[in-house]
Parts: sequence; structure tokens; C-alpha cells
Amino acid sequence: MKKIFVFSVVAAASMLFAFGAPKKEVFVKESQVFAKVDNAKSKSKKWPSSVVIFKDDMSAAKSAAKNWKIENGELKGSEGAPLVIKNAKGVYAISLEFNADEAGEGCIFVRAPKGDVSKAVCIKLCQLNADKGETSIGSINGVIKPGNKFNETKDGRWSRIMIFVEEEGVRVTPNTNLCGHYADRNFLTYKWEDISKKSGYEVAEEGEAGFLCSKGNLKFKNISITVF
Amino acid sequence: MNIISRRNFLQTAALTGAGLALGPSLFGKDEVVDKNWKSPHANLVSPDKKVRLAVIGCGGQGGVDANIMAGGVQFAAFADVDYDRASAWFLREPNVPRYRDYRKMLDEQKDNIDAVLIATPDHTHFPAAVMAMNLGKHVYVEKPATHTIGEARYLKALAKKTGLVTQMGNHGHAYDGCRELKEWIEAGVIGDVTEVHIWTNRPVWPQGVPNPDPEKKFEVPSTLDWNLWLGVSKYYNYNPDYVPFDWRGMWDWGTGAIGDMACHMFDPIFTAIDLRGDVKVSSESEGATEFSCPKWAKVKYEIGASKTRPKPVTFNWYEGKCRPHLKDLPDGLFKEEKDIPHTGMLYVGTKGAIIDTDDYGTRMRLLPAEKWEVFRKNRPPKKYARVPDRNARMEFIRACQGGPTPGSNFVDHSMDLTEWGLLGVLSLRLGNKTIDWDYKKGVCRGLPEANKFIHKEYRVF
Ligand SMILES: NC(=O)c1ccc[n+]([C@@H]2O[C@H](COP(=O)([O-])OP(=O)(O)OC[C@H]3O[C@@H](n4cnc5c(N)ncnc54)[C@H](O)[C@@H]3O)[C@@H](O)[C@H]2O)c1
Repeated sequence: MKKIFVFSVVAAASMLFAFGAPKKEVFVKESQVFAKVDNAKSKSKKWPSSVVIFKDDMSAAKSAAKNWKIENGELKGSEGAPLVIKNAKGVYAISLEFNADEAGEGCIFVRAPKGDVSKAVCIKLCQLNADKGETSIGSINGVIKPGNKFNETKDGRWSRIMIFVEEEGVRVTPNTNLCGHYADRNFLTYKWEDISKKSGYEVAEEGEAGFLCSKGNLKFKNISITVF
Repeated sequence: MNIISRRNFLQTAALTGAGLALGPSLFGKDEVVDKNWKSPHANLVSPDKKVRLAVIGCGGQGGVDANIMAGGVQFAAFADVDYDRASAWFLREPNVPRYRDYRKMLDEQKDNIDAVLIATPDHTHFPAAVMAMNLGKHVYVEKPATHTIGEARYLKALAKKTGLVTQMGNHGHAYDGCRELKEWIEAGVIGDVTEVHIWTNRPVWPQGVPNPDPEKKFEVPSTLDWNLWLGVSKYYNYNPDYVPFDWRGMWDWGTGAIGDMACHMFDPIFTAIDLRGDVKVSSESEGATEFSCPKWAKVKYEIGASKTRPKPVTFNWYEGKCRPHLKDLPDGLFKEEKDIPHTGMLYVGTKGAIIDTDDYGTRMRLLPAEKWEVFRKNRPPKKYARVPDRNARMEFIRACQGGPTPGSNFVDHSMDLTEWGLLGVLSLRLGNKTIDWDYKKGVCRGLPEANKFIHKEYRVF
């Protein structure tokens, strides 16, 4: 009797894995929960790995202008041409730490059609005059402002930003407490559609990603990209 | 709890390491230890190696715990159902394998893992801990370690059987307050405890919420695996009102304000006096449904005297808008209603009372104030060994390497404490029925309908 029961749990479990979301739910008792480790076999995929880029060299750059260089494991940029990253396509996440000097201003751009940054979605990294009520970091194209205002970390410390580029839109988490208890998945979530409306041009369906330093100097470290 | 005794114990600081089986690092700098200490636990990691730790639930509290353990461990693998919530850890440790499903992680990485930190929502603690322990891994499980009383008893038995190192995440248990309260009460400072009142402003998350509307469908975020988040729970459609964090106000996944806070706020008194045994538990509440925990609640435990408990004890819990008023408390403790703090733990004995206004038991004083002024200069001597740096997470890690058994281990302490809190949950889930708890058998006398909450069913997922 017992053997048949265990078998049926395993069989039911494999059926669920085979057909995805559960149709008819099967329940077991306390003592049957993973009493046999085999009952717990899972076919779920791992999360994709992240690739650390721009740590030792510029090999992750599609085009590397002279205003960008690697020094002591940091990517340093000054005012000038954008740095376009290879392989930032489809659904992906970019995570990094950044640090701007007094005059520093810049953005991370995504969905730049053929590298045309003027038509890209630009996510503000640091902002002069942020204290004076201007757009804060995480704002888009200078027109879409976050509900909450985020400033880059001052006094020389590094700020962190994560950008999730998804099918529907882009999510930005600047200097957040992702480890905190009250993380709010909805803040700084922008739909492509809304960005198009407010920016006055169509966001490209595919496009390139990269960094732009428009004033002063910017430094980046621990840059990783995860392609889903 | 380790007792200090001049003859058998010595300060680790005095140990030089030569000729001793265990080096001082296992005990921490200021802990008082047994020089003959030999860990009774299985599968110990050599003290000169780092404990290889896997984390299940890396966002929220798991991130906090992992951060505190980070210096003493080597991260072996991460599992989280939500890339977004876990990304801070995934990106901080880009070379550590990262999984959606803890089952796959444990299965594939079992040879690379010594210990597992489990900090998922409450309903997932048990299945994850059972699997990890069955694979011979030490476990640190966030509080409340279990979702039902049946689970608490099962894990206690499993910990006994396997001999693994265990610790629940009621980190306040490693603070001095727990030990001081026990020392004060055992020294007779307030006589025999007869009354306990514990109150909190929680829930500070939604409780008393409507049942889910099956017609209402929200798009699941691309970075979340909702079926895995539900795990052993009955299936519900995704709703952003449930995750993160707010699931604790819903019975399928959390245990409400009492379950959330009991492991912290009940801990000092549960440590100080023996509250194990048959008990009557009654409750009042508003807004609870099959799905949602109540908006507010009061729970009363009545436990008789025993060999280890000289007097019967009434133990009162108040949450949400409830708190004790002057009329509920013995005369002379507070002059006016406004003197009663917003949150607190009040222990009343035959000779006096102690109030604590910190959820983790670190702000105790005697009542009334005049008594405290005299007492504070003349406290009872230390009897119980303190935990180095009051750090429950590192206490666990050191125990995995042969250090002292953690205070909130499953066998001696935390599963019984969890059960005590969950008895209140049981009365609430039964629609405020009074329960007559048979401690030996683990059943409510005359209430067979309670069984489905004592032992729940688990979805195969
Ligand atoms: N000791 C304390 O003081 C303290 C404080 C807060 C929370 N907690 C406890 O910690 C636990 C987590 O609470 P929280 O507030 O961090 O919740 P949360 O919802 O904010 O975070 C839970 C984390 O676990 C992940 N997760 C959920 N289901 C999972 C699964 N099946 N497998 C792997 N990962 C999964 C989530 O994605 C998230 O990263 C709870 O048991 C809670 O009671 C303890």
C-alpha cells in the first residue's frame, strides 16, 4: 500500500513537470514531503549566469572610442562618444556600480537603433543639480521621472544600479535595498509604450546598449550582464 | 543554554590552542566555554575550513543573514525563485551557481554544501529543511521555523535523529537579555511568574484582506517563477499584493502577526521559565478568513503548575489595535494609561514585575521605577554563558565547525518555542475556539477539526 502511494506521488510529480502549471493538484502528508530525495527531483532550469565585463579589457565593447579605458579593474569614461556593449540583446540585466566626479553626468542607454544614442532609451546615472529638484537618477530620457527621487551616492562613495531590459519595458533599481524587506518591484518600471509616448519617438524593438558620459568623468566597476 | 561553572569552564581568551582539540575561533573571543567541550553533532566541518553555505531565499531577510555570515563562510550555491529579489547576491557573487528551485540545487550541489540557510516565506521552511537535513546538511532556518505544529515536532525529531547542527533565526536568542531574564527570575527577583503580557503594533502589513478573486489575473513578472514560489502551498493566481513580504498576513504562506513575532517576543520568557505542557488557549479577533489572518487579535494561554513551574501562568498576547490597559494589569505597575508602552513584554511574579520594551529582549527593567534604581546597581551574578558578539548567525557557523551547540537549536529550544506561538495561531484559525492542548499527544482534546491545521497537506509541485 505504502509503496504504491510513494510511486503515485512520484508519478504525479513527473506529470506536473511534464505539463507545466498544475492542472489537478495532488497533495501529500507531512511525512511524505521529500522523505525520499528522489521525490524532490526538479526539472526547472537554473538562472542564467552573469558575465563580468570591462574588468580587465575592453573585449566586451562593440566600438571603443578613446574616451573610454580600463584602469585598476574600473571602466573610466570622459565626455565623448558612447561605449556600445556587445551581446546586450533580448531580455537581459545589467548591474554595475558607478561613481561620478563633481561635473560628471551620463547615462546607460538601451534599445539604441543601430547605435544611434539620440533615439535610445537613456537611463540617467548621475545628475548635476539633482538637489535643486531636477530629474534624479533612474529617470528616462530626461522626461520620465521616477515617483520617488533617487540621487547618486555623494561623498565619493559608489552608487549601484541594476537595469532589467524586458520584453514589455525596462525596470531600474538605483541604490535600492534589494536585500531589504520592503523592496517594491513596481518602482521605476517603465513600459516601452509609455516611453515612446512621452519621448515623442518610437522605441526601437531591438537595439544596442551602452554607456554615455556627457559631462565630466564617470567610473564604473563590477559590471555584469546577464542574458536571459 | 550553557551554564558557567568555575570548576569546569574557563575563558577562551585564556586558551592558547596548544594541546586543545578545538581552537579559540570556535568559541569566539569572550565566550566562557567548557575546556572539555566535544561537539555531539554529526557531519562537522574542520575548524580550519570554511563552512560551504547554500542560501535558499536570498532577498529580504536571507540577504541580511547571508551578509552577517559572509565573512565566515564560502558560498556554495544560491536558490531563489525570483531573480530580481536575489540579484543583489547573484551579482555580488557572480561565480556561485544560482538556481530557481532549491530541490535542484540540493540535488546537484549536495557534495559541495555543508550547511543551508533557509529564509523563504514560512510555508517553504519545512520542505526545504527536511530535504537539506535528509541530505545531512546543517540548517539555519528563519523564524518561525515551521508553518504548523506538526512540522515543528517533525523537525525536532529529525534534528535528534540526524544529530545535525540547527538554529532558528530568532537572532535575539543570542542577545544577553534572554540569559539575564533567566538569571533574574531564577534568582527570585520577581518571585514565581504568574502572568505574562506581550503586545505589539504588528501587523504592519495587510491582514483581514478579502479572499482572492479567481477572475482577477495579474501578469507574473518575468523574473519570478510563481509555481515554485507557491511550492507546497495550494495553487493561487499570482497577485502583487502577496509578494514580496505581505504573504505573512495570509495563512497559506505566513502565520500572521503572532507567528511572525512570537519567536522573538515570546523567546525570553519561554527561555526563562518552563512553558511546556498541557495548556488551554483561547482567542478573540476580527477579520480572519480561511485565507487571511485577522486585523487584530488577543490570545490567552492558561497553563497549570507543574514540577518545574511552581505557579499556574496566564500568558496574554495582544496584536494590532489591542494592547493591555490599566484594568488588565496588576495595580501599581503603571500610574496612568499613557505610561504603558506601545509595545512590550511584561512579566509579573509573586514578588514583582519586569517590563521589556524591545522586541528582542534587550531593554528590561524592574517595575515600579524605584525598585529598578536599587536593583540595577546590585544585579544577580552571571550564570549563563553569553554568545560572542551576540551573533546568532556566527554561533551557528561555529557550531558547524565543532563549536558550542546554538542556543535556538531545534531539539532543546526553538521547535518548542515555535509550537507555543503556533498554538495561538491554531485558536485563531479555528475561529477563536478555545483549545485544550494535549502536549504529549500533540492534539486538541475534543476538537478533531483542529487536526487539519496541526498537520497540513502539501502540494506536489
Ligand atoms: N529574524 C528576523 O528578524 C526576521 C526578519 C524578517 C523576516 N524574517 C523571516 O525571514 C523569512 C523571509 O521573510 P522576508 O521578509 O525576507 O520575505 P520576502 O518575501 O521579502 O523574501 C523572501 C525571499 O525568498 C525568496 N523565495 C520565496 N520562495 C522561495 C522558494 N520557494 N525558494 C527559494 N527562494 C524563495 C523570495 O524570492 C525572496 O528573495 C520569513 O520566514 C520571515 O519570517 C525574519
